[in-house]
Amino acid sequence: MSGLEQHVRESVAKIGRQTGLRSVPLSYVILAFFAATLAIPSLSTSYFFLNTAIYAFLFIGLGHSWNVIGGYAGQISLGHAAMFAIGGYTTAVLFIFYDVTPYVGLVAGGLLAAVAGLALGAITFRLRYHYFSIATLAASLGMSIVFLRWDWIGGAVGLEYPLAEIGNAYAFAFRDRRLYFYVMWAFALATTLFVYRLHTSKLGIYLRAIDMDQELAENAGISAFWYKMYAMGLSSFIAGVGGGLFAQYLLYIDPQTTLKLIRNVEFVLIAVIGGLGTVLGPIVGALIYIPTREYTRTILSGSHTGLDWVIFGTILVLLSIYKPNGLIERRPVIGDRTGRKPNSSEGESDDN
Amino acid sequence: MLSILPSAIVDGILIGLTYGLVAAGLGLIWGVMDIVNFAHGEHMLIAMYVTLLTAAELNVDPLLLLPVNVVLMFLIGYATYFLVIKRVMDGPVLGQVLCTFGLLLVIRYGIMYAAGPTTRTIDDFVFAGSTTVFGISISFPEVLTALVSIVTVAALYVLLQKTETGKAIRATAQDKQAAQVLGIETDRVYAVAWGIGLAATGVAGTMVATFFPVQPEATPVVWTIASFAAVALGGLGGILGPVAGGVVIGLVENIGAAVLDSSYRQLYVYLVLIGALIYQREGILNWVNS
Repeated sequence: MSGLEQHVRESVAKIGRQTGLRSVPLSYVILAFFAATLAIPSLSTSYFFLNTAIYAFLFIGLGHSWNVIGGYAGQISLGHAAMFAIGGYTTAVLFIFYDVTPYVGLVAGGLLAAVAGLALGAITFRLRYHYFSIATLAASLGMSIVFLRWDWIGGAVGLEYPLAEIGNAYAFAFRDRRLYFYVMWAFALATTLFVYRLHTSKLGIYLRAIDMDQELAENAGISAFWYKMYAMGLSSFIAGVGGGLFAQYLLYIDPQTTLKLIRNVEFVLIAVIGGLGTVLGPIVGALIYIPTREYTRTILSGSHTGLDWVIFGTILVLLSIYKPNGLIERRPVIGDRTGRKPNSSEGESDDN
Repeated sequence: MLSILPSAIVDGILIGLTYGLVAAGLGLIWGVMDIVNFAHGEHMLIAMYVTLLTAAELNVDPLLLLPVNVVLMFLIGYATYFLVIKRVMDGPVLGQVLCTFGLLLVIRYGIMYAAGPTTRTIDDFVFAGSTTVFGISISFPEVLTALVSIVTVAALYVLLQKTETGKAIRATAQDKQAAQVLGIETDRVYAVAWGIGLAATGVAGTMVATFFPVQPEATPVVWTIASFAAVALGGLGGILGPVAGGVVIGLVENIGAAVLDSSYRQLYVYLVLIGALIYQREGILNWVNS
């Protein structure tokens, strides 16, 4: 393994120098961004503005979560909402039924989501390419069918937080929306720092190696299955905590908001808009996607139901054609099609 | 419990044949160019809405819309290939997954925006009604739909096995480079495969709209997942595999609904899909080996 270790060290040194913005060190960019955004709550008192900022920062973290498994490991999961929902429901159920404070519930939700993610990974990581995507999508949609009919957790109606608890520190439910912003800001910062570390860690390099060429990585002694599991556990934990924060902000949770098909797409969309397998990608993606979503929702609400998703669907198609790796392009995700059909004579990609 | 089993089997086979037709279209595209159409159910939704809206507004009988929808869906498939799919064919897999997913969103929510989110049904259909045979209630539209599905599948089979076009499609699926060397225009072949694949949903969508309540958000996913499962069971080798898979899925869904719990009928299909995917690729417990 020593040869491999050395190679990893060299790669780390090389990749550490590659950022989306070539001349500025990545850490400066991250710190400047988070320092500047601390001022957001004092900029405007409008509900729309703060609400959008809260969602944007929550979804920076959720975008990172998907990015770990989808961007770094190249596993195009279309079922990430499952882990998000498990985290959210765990936090809500623990508080509403058992009076466990969400400070504990959020961690519990993250851990349970990680267990669920590992279980899903154990079943699906043997599948490659779109087979994996279909299986994860089916798992998430199947889960939504179960949750819609599960009376204990409120079925299709969902669970509501008791209103008397709002403003109570133990309930992690704030009257002042600005406090929610700081919570989401901290979540976004923590996940960003985590991915920043991952980016130049051994795990990060191995995941990218698996993404680029799984067979080659296996031959170099990297167990693709177990490293994907590792990534899935971390990714799912973040998604679970994010789901818990989502529930704490809305003060209710139901299958419709957490598990519908679109929820699965949102995580992917954020990572893909920004840039896959990059630290800044989900930040850029969430800052583009969430304000656009909130804006179109407000503008096109009422009779115009659905038009916002026509827009995002169009964006998705255009991105897949012109910028399949996002706006911050670093490298292709499973870009080499030769590994797809080992028996075919497609030696090199066609140029027609 | 067991008294409703015969009627569940009949229902399962009837709807399963249509699942099979839709799956044959999906499997053709999937097998020929290794691209999964996540928007397959949404494409079917187009044909359903053409049928529903025309029947409601102009009082046209759904059967008259069969050829219209076949041609329309063929053209949509042909255009989809050249406008979108061709450009992601040689790109990363991610792009191939996301582009049909984008189409899914555009079609589904475009229809919802244009026609509203209400559930729609056909009011009057020439063949409406049902009869009782040996104590099993059989609805005429469902029987007719199954028959049309069988005829369409047979036509697809002949088209792929006997015609020049079918041979070109199969040759391209086997070996793209060799096909090009032999003078086959693979781009056109792919576009035709997309056209045929979606034309299958055109037939199915028209017929299913005659007895199946349609809602833009809930209906497509039922058909997409059913055809994924049918293809996962039946394989990508040809037309008949997915059709057999479709019948199995129809039986699983309806027998499960009759014997276990009818509110989870979709869940049985999901479980078969995940099981079939894993079993086909690796063997269910193979992950222990690493």
